Amino acid sequence: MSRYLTPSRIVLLALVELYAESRFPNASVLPVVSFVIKHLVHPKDSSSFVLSLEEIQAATSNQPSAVVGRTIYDLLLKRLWDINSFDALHTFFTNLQNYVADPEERGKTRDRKPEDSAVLHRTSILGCFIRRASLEFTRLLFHDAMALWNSFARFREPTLNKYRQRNIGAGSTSFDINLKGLSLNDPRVQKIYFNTQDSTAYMVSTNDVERLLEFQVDIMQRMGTRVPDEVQDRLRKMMDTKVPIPSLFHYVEFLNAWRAGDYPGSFDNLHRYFDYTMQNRDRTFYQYALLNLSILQADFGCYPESVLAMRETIKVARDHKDMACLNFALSWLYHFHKAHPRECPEVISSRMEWDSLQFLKAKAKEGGMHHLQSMAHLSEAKQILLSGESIPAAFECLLRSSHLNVSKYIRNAMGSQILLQCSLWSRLGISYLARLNCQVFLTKYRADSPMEDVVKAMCRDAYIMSMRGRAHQALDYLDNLDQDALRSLKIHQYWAAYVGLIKLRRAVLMDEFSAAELLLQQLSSLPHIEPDCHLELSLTRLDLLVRTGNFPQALALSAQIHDDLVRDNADVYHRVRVMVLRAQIFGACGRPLKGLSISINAASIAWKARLMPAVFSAFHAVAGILVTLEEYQAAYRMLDCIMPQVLECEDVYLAAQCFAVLADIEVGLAGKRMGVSRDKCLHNALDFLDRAFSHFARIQDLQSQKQMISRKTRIQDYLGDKSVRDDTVKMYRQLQRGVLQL
Amino acid sequence: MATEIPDPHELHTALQTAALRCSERCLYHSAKWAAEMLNSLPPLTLPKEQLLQAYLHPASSSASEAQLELQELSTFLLARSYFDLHEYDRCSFVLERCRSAKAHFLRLYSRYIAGEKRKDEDSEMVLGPLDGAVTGNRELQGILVELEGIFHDRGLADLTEDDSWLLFLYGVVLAKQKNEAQAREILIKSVGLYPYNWAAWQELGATLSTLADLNLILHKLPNNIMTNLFVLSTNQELYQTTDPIHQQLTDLLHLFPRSSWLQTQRALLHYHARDFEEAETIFDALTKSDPHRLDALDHYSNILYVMERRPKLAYIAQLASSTDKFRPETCCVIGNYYSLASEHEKAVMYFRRALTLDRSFLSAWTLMGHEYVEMKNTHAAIEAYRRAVDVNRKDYRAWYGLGLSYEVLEMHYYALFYFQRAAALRPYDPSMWQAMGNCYDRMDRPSDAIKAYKRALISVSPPRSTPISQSNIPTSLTTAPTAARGFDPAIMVAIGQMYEKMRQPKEAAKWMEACLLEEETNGVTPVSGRARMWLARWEFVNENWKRAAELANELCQDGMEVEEAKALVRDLRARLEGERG
Repeated sequence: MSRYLTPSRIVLLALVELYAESRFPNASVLPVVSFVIKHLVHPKDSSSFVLSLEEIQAATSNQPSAVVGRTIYDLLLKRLWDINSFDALHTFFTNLQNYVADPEERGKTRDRKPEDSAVLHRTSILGCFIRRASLEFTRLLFHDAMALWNSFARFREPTLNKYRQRNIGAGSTSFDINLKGLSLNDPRVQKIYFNTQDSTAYMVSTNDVERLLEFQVDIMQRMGTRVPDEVQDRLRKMMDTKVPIPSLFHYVEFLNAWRAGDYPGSFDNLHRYFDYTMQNRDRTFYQYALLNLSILQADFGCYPESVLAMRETIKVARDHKDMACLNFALSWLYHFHKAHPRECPEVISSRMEWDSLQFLKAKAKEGGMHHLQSMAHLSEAKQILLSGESIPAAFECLLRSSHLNVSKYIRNAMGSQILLQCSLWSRLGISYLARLNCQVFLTKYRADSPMEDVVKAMCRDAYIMSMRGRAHQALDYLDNLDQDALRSLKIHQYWAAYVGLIKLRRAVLMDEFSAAELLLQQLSSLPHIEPDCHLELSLTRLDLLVRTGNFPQALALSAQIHDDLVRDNADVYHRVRVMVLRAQIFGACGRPLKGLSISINAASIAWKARLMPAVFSAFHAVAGILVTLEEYQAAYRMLDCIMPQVLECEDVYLAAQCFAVLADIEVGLAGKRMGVSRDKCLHNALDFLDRAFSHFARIQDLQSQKQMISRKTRIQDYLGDKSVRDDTVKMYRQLQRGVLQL
Repeated sequence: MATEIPDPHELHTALQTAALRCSERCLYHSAKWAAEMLNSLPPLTLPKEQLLQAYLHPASSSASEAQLELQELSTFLLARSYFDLHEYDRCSFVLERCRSAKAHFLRLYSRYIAGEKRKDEDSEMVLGPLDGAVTGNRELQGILVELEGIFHDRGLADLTEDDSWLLFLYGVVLAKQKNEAQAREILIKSVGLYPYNWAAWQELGATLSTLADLNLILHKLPNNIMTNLFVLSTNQELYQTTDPIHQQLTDLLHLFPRSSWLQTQRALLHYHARDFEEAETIFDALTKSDPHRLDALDHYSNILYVMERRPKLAYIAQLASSTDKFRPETCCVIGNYYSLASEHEKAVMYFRRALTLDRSFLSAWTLMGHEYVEMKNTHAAIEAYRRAVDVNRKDYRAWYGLGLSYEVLEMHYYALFYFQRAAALRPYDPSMWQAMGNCYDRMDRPSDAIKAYKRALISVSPPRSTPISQSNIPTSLTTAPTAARGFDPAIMVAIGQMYEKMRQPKEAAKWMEACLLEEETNGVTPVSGRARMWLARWEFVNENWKRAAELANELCQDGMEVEEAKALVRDLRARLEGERG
């Protein structure tokens, strides 16, 4: 019912009046005025929406006033109970104007004594508040003003007892001077004050609801989360008071449904919202409606629809000269093109090349849209990385973005920047720094960043942990994630993908093939999965096929994955990794020569892009092939020189594999030598096997562990060290039974 | 005027029948009035053995007519239900072939109402280009022709009670066409045939614009209690507040002890006599006994407005607003409240709303005129007042407002006419006379101005019982009074100035002296200061230095016109010294 004025606002006005009359001692000014201002300005937390009498009492009853022996609360009560009729309320609002300085009458202020009222400036927060309030009161029709008065009387009623302590004469009808001598049961009193059916009318204003909704939309858009239950409750309570529902409510509903993955619901609410706001304040919101629609469609996988909507958005935004919208749309389309190259029509793909990014950067800089500019730099860095170009250039872009984020205080772009940096480090094979970046982000920027970024960082963190062979810990870490964040469908899917991936790898390594199959099935049915995740999934699938000895299918699958990647112009890192694995499969199925060219090719590509882990695994593959070609010396030289860096990568599996190959090399070398040097080589081999075993043990790779032990027994057998060999055999047995404790 | 007190049983039955008949003919307000009066009677013990006539359906007294009504009952019921649902055209169409007088009346009446409704719709905005006389009731002519046909055929001599309703409608239509004399005749005829139709009385009252008119028709009215009520309310509307009328009201209150209508009349009489306290008390009691009653609340708000009781006025507005936001009375109360709070735009908004609800709501037109005057929109004010006067020529405030507006526009001759009309309605209200004097002054007619001012002086305390005609200036005031009598000093100064204009300075001096005498009661005022200044100059011219110095020094002491007085003192001193020297 009410647009702006509520009983609690009247109380705030009375407080402002007292302040303007210098009734506050200096010490109380700050707490009380900040209490008032907290309820006027843009809300910072969810506590400042509907003001209750208790909050006011709590804020004022401990503050002494300029009158000795009275607190500010006492003065406030006196002031409130002085409004003793509808007419007094009217007068109250009329007199408010006196507290606002009139610029035209600055010269005429002689008659106003400076000591009895501190006049508020017109443009100060309090001045604006007073002006807005008087304007709103003037706007009210009589019956609206009456309803306001009634609800004010109701609001004030609980303070009657306190007021009576100082004013003995006050009775139950003293809220209206006209009712003197009447009882509460008088038909006239009943008629005026108890006639209204709904006692909550005017307790909440549209303005309050709007503030709450804006706050909520802000949080949802910034954090990408859903409406918390508590806020939803409060909203429902506010809506019950029959305030006209602002159209923004539908937007909140839309965001909520979207995050919950409710496609029809979000679609419906988005349309409803824009039906009410299409033409608002002389502006057309058509382009924004289209923009939202397009993003929504894309999120639910309707890519062709989404592209069509986005093209329309760009057209409309261009017509309306809405640069902000246009740039955002272009940047979105660019990302879309990167993410779904197959769904993008030719017309757009051809335009979305390198220069479009340059264009975006220039436009963003021109329009002063720092966020967009920072994002464009990041995109540039990403593109450089994807196409495997110069690493310093990528760092330069990252630094530009970081500079913008820091100097323009764009806190919510921090997440993307740090995450990109993190993946850059891990591509360079410095996983320690990568992990450090994740942790810096999580400890320092968590509060202001979108939930999506936070979850991504955590997943990345957990994945690095699992690479180091601490899968259990990583899963625990992911399980402890804030459940509220996971209420958003997209985030939940991302999280689930990573949890599943880590579990899958563990299952594959532990020889639990049926469990792995099941997990694979579940994971591949997830609708939206990140490219990174997707690749890991494919690689694990290949690994599984290799381990179960299904080489033909493994080869076919690897070929298909590789072709897909080439077609999509995908990340060079992904391609290299598939190539290396393919080479390894060739090696494993006994066609090493075929693998050699592939792995050398992979190594050269990876080296160009400085993808160190990929380089190392390619070397490992080459070395393995060289072993089968009996080129032990060459293989040894290759691996020996990269071993320190492999260990630095902290990829346990890679290191284990390298050690295993080294052991093979030593055995091969031993075959070419005689006497002491042969024994020495064999001991070296044993040493390497031990190391490989311990590494495999860390990631619980059962099959490889067994292989290592069986090789060990053979060497020991050859060396004739029976007792040690028996011990090793015993170990093998234990391992087979699954009771080996290291 | 003395009619015998009717038998309570008969009065009961008559009023009950009246209420039923009126509501049967869709005259809702008359029915309400009759029922209210009925219920204000002291309760009766009802005879047990037989049902009252009124309790059964009140059929016509003539057998043939009753037979007709019986035949047409079903059609009539249909038509009435249409009327109740505001489907007026349909109602009259259904009744096309009916022959009973009742059906006849309802048919024509619904046609009339349909015309009124269309007129309201066509008028569009209040004070818009189509509002007012431009848009009329287009059905009037047709109804008139038909009614003339009926009564021409049958003659006006042998009519029955059943025809009184048609006559009432005839009168209404005639009055609408400004054919007042004939309308009055017809309405008198109607109330003569059936006196319990209050609507007919009201229409009759609307055709009377002076007391003389009322006196002229008194002997033609039926010998019935209704005549007394009519005379009372007409007197009230003509601002007659003499003791006999109060006495008459008291008598009627004996008969209808709980009548809120009569109480309201009493309050209005007090209001006209500017006895606001008394009027307020009565209205207070009325709101207490029936908090949902909105009738005449606009008058109550006027009273509170004049008494400047803002909180109370707001309270009444709350009360009214919680009863019904969309009644013209409520809107007027709220408008008055906003006017008192100096929010004239809002006040105008509410008065406009009242007028949109009912274009013939008199108070709203007048009050809106006042608001426009406050907002310095003189032309709009004139239009609003004009409409008020068109609705009811007895509203002196509208006439007075018109005069004031023209005065603002410097059209004094025109203004004079309106002040005269106002003064004719309120011969004892000094402000009208004062305004008239002012106009004469501006038009350089000082002798007329003096007459008007003198009249203003004596009308402050009017003799209650003896009516006086307008031209009669009491002999006591041919010369200036020599003792303080509680007169308004401003008027006396004005009279003095008029005499000065007529080059009768001695007479002027007398009036100025008289004005100084009034200081006894009023204390020193700027007006008396002006008089003193004038006198000082007068004495100065007459070389009566000593008295002049005395007066000038008094002026200096009182702090009135100090600069001029000081100059005079200096001049006097110089002259006195010159004389000595």
